Amino acid sequence: MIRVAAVGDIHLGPDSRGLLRPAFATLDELADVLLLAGDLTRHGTPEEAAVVGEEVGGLPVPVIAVLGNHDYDAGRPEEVTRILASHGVQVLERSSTAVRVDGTLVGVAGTKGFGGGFAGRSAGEFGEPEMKAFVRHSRECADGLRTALDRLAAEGCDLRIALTHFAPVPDTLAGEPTEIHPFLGSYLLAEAIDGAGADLALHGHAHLGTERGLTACGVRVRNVAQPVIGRAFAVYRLHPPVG
Amino acid sequence: MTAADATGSDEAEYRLAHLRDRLADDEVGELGLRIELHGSHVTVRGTVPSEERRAAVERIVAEVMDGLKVHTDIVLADDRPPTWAEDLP
Ligand SMILES: [Fe+2]
Ligand SMILES: [Fe+2]
Repeated sequence: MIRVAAVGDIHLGPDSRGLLRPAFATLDELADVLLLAGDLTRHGTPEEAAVVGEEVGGLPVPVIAVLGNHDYDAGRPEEVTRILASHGVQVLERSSTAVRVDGTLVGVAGTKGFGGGFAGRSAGEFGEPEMKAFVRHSRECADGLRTALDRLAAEGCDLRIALTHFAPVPDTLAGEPTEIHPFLGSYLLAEAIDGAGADLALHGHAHLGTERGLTACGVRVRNVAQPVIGRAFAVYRLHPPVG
Repeated sequence: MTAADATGSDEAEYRLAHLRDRLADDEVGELGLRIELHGSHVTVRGTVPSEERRAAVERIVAEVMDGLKVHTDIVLADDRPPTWAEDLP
């Protein structure tokens, strides 16, 4: 059994330094890995990234993250990624990593993802260059996620987790105004997850949404935005397939 | 009526839209709040990470929506570890 701790949208800044550390310090008893689903900062400044690094640095479990839209706001995502890495956090973007827990190889594929909306009500790559660029970014994130999940399968992972900031399904947006769903996620992420297969999909971003959802092909989706889970992090127990 | 005379709910709608921009700016960076206009009342609900952030949100809402009745229901994020885990068989 693998215990996955996850949280997104902690939106840390200098005024929230130290708030989450006591909870994270209990992780060695509660979980085998900590996944961070983006929006770790308010504006993605190096100062805020350093606060995040201090909160999760030196924990007894591997820490794997994706960035969120807030972490891009200052236009320095590479710097944020570098600062987090210097505290031992592995930041994924259209990439994957695998950790061995006892005998089980657990793979995590991650991307920030982007908006565009959900099947039947989504934006298309059509018209003005700005619109095309919007939808193209979403598609490229989803394509990268699919490739990363496929790679994890080829590497023989026993369990595979898709980690994004934007939502792959509308289920977990319940509570958010439907008018803004196209800014909260994209069906392209779910299509990638269903296409490549995964044991669990985690996302954040929708602070007013709900925790549980399902992709069309039955992959469990959990919105781990901190306001949604109502705790420092959530823990999910996954069971590797037998035989 | 000239543009300068514009008052009432129409104008409040624009102020509400600008409020979202204000709240997303340098100081608070809060995009996850639900803000709604009900006649001359404004409701604000959501979760923020700290007492400072809540005070900043309340101050900015009162400032931008000046003249309307503001009702806030902003809770602080719960930073305690979970007491249970969800089993996914
Ligand atoms: Fe967020
Ligand atoms: Fe976000």
